[in-house]
Amino acid sequence: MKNKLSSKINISSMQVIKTLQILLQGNFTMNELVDRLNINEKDAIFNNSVVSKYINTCRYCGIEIPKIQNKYFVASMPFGLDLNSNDIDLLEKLQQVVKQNMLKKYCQIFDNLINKLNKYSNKKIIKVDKNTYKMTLEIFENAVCEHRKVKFLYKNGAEYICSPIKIVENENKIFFNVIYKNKDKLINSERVAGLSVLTEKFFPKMSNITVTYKMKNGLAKRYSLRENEKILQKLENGDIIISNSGEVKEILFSRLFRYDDLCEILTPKQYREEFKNILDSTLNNYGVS
Amino acid sequence: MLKIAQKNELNQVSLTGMRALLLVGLLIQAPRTLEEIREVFILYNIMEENHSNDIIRIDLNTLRTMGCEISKATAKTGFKYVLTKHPFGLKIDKNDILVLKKAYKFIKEKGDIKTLLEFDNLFKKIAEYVMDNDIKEQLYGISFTKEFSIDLINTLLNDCKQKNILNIVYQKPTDNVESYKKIITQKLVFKNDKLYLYCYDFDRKDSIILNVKRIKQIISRIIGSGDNQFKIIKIKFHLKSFGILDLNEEEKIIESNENGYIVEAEYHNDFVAMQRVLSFGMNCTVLEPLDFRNKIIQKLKNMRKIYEE
Repeated sequence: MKNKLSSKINISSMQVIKTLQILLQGNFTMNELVDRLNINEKDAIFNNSVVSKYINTCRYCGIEIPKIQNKYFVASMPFGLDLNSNDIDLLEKLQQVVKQNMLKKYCQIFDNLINKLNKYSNKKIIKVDKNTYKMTLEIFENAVCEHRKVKFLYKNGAEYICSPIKIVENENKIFFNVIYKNKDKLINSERVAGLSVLTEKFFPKMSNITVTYKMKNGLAKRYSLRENEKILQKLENGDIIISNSGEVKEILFSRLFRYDDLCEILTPKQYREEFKNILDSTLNNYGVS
Repeated sequence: MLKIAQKNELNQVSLTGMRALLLVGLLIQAPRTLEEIREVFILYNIMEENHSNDIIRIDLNTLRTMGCEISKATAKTGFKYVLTKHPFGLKIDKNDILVLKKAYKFIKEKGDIKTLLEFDNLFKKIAEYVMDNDIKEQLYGISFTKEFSIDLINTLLNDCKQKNILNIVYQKPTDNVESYKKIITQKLVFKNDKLYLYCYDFDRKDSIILNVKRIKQIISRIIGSGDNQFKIIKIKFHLKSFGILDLNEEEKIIESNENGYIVEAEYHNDFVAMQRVLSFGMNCTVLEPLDFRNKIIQKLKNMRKIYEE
């Protein structure tokens, strides 16, 4: 008896579940749904009236299945994620961060994620708004890929023609890392009113500059390496020599300044000189030459 | 979950299909006994009082055929059916995780511990609905708390709120030697992927910053500090421009003119103030107090000396 029971199943239950599984995959017209459901069946057992009944069954169980422009889709599930209003606020915070600071491709991935969460949630989360992307970031990124120079129009009216390198983020501010007059420069995105890509091409630098510096005494002992750093040498007195590839100069200098006399830039010579010049200029601020 | 149906309404739907969906929903919420499932089915008019429980067993088989993994109801499970896998799980992929990580990094840099703990709960909640174990692990791994004990963070947050006095064992970063410290807790700060406790050290009679990872033990606690012994350092500086940095909550512009800004700031101690001022580089000139201004000048001279050798 037991064996007999364990082999019994409900065919129409299976078909309702199959219908729901297909609906969770996307938006479909009734004909598309019927076709998809019949793909693995010997005979065409699904038809419009059967599938309508199964959709009604899902709806009766609290699964929201609207029909918009003739297409059915799952909008929310009653036994899905139980998000409270604070969770929704947090997702909105994330969405804001993504839309304000990230490239279009990431915004699209995040919007898809929200759509997925909406489907599996018992609450409506946030609307996907496709019109708030930071187009400037997108244009800049394209120019980097195509090795084309860009022209920045500042909010104060000034114009600069530069070679784009990459988009950099520091302390929640977004910068355009460019080469301007042969110098590495960071442009704060908040100062930019417009950006256009020029037809003129530039030759991209093939390698990032590697900077080496020595960390001394207590700092050497407690220092945690960043992603782009590695220890080149541990000296007998406990000091360490670190190499750093790819960190933007302004950000690196600001950080190394913080370490005061416990850090010394070793190479390249040009960076060492520049750092010394900044020290001179800073001392000049205090009337010390 | 679903509205209680009148018997005549059930003609337009598949009764067995409703049982299957309801059963999935019930088991996603929690493990259930046969009797618990039966009760709900009867309440929702999709099973009669005189029906045998075999109906439910067949429904369970149907779900198993459709890809659900449901345990047997044994003494080990408290005679409950446990759903361990189902085809209605949230399908999050690696790209979703990548974007969540990137966005969370922005939130993390603001360093508000309470918000970070809320995100921790959200990621855990979402992970519960993900069937892929690898993705589940990655979701758990986004949060900063993966490297810290949440209990310790909550305890310290409470200590900071009440300004409690703690006797702790702290491992020094310089020589890894463990020592005792008596401190008044002030605030928890998350910065550069590290969690710091801002506090007052009774021995040094000064405000200090401890790396939370190095707190090995909290030996005792006195609720409330009585006198507020925190020392803060107030400085005024001129800033030509912000450069790559932004002002933080401790810094306020009190005047702005064509040459830049006059900023007034309050920092936890000399060390924090020194680091902050130096990070502005040549954009910043300390105006007051004079002794701090002199310390900065001396520090800059020491730095320059290195490059003159």
